[in-house]
Amino acid sequence: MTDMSVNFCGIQFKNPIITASGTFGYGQEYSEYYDLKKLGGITLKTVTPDPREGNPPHRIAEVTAGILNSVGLQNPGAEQFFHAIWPKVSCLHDRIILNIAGNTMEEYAKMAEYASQTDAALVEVNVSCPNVSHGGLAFGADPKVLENVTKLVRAHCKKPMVIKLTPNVTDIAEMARAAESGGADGVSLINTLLGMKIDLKTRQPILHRNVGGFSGPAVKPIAVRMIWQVKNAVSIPIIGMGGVMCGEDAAELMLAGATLVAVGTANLITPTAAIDVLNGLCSYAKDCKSVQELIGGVRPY
Amino acid sequence: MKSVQACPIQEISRITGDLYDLRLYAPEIARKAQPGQFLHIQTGGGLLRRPISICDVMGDIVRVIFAVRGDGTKALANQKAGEILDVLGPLGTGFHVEGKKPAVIGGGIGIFPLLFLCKQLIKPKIYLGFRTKEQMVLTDAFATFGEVHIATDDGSFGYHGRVTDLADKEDADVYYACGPAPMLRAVQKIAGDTPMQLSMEERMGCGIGGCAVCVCKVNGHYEKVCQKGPVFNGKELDLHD
Repeated sequence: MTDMSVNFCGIQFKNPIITASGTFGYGQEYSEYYDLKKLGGITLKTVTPDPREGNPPHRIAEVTAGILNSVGLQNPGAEQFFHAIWPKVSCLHDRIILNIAGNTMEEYAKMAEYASQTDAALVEVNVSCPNVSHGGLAFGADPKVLENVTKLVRAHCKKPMVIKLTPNVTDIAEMARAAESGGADGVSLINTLLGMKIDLKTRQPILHRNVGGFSGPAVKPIAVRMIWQVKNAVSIPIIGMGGVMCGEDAAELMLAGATLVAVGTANLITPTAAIDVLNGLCSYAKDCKSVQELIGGVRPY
Repeated sequence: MKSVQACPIQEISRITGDLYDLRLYAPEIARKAQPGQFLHIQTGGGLLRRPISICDVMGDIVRVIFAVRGDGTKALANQKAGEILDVLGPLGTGFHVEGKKPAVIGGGIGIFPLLFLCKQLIKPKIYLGFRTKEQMVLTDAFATFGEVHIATDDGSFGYHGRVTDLADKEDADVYYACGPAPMLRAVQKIAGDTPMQLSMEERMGCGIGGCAVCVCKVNGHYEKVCQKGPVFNGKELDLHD
């Protein structure tokens, strides 16, 4: 039997497979299809201080081997979330990752304080959403700003915190180093790439916001490359994500350097996707003593 | 626990134009299905499933009718009897039966979920709109449940004009409708204060409420079509988005 457990930021996860924020709601819908506790952990949809309506539809478009989304961080806001939703979903898993975002530096700090009062395992800071005009990418695409927001959240966050990085930058390693020097305990990557699809009949973009986040199997090679570059640049652990559809994909992200692997777009295709990925990873790793052997195990030329 | 179903295709055939009639052997779905709910079907082409309204349930067979619009539905149309489809469902919140004098209004491919609904209504007045006579389908099936009135855009059959103009003088105590947004807006006008249940359509992701991409405006907020809908209280729906 392979030991499937991994240690991430000092926290033991029973296996490396978690879910990616924004593709899994707050977990409740998926818990009707399988016991979420079988996963290593779950990441909830981004919460912001104030409620967000999200973007007008259409919010999704299918492209070759991927999708574009433009949800725009729709959520009920921190008060409603922590009072009405968190008490119901916190029992779904003992390793819940809370994903937070804000419009301003102060709002990120505020969210870190909210999150610190819960029994969540980790806090993931979303500084990389491509679908909102404030916050999001504005904080995640410049290394100086990223380091500053990381420092500020660090000062207000009593839990291990992970900075979620955008791939929409020239040098991902530089961004990871900025997060590390700001005091991040880990990084997660990749958020979605900015993409666009045009309807040939109407000549209008499919997405109401014109552009949106590109994800799915088509982006996996970019995720693998960026995880590998980040692994070589920093010493903090990595949550890898980007186009994971099966166990072999998860293994590939681990070989590139990920300790935990998040399943995202695949959750939109089949509700049991994350558990299917876990089963596939178990098969791939069956001859290993520990799945941790895979982490950063690539043998580059 | 809910689960993904592996459903053998009992029959698939082209009805007319780009419309296909698909019958799945799906006893579990058949048992649970309510009018207005939908199936989320892996088409065999592309990544995302396609949401298709349940048109009818006959014993263990669930029937859907879909139009070929893009790569997904094209792939689905190429499936053959005996092949097995990966299906989620029944999903969503469907129609609930109320009132004593129901009127049912459908336009284009919006008529299909209304057939299953009419089965459960008592003597509904049924208004169906089509572009042309050639595109008229299922009218005989509807006629077994109630009085059918037909409108065509080009006047090639029945009333020449919009189906909602035809239904304008209807004295119903509840309206059920499914069709394009302009038609639903007209139903809102006709119904006024009378209860109305309108079925919405939007590009969909997971189909179970996890991803929040398939939204429409309800009471000023975006609600998930796949979960709160696809059938909504027409008075709360903002169709001017």
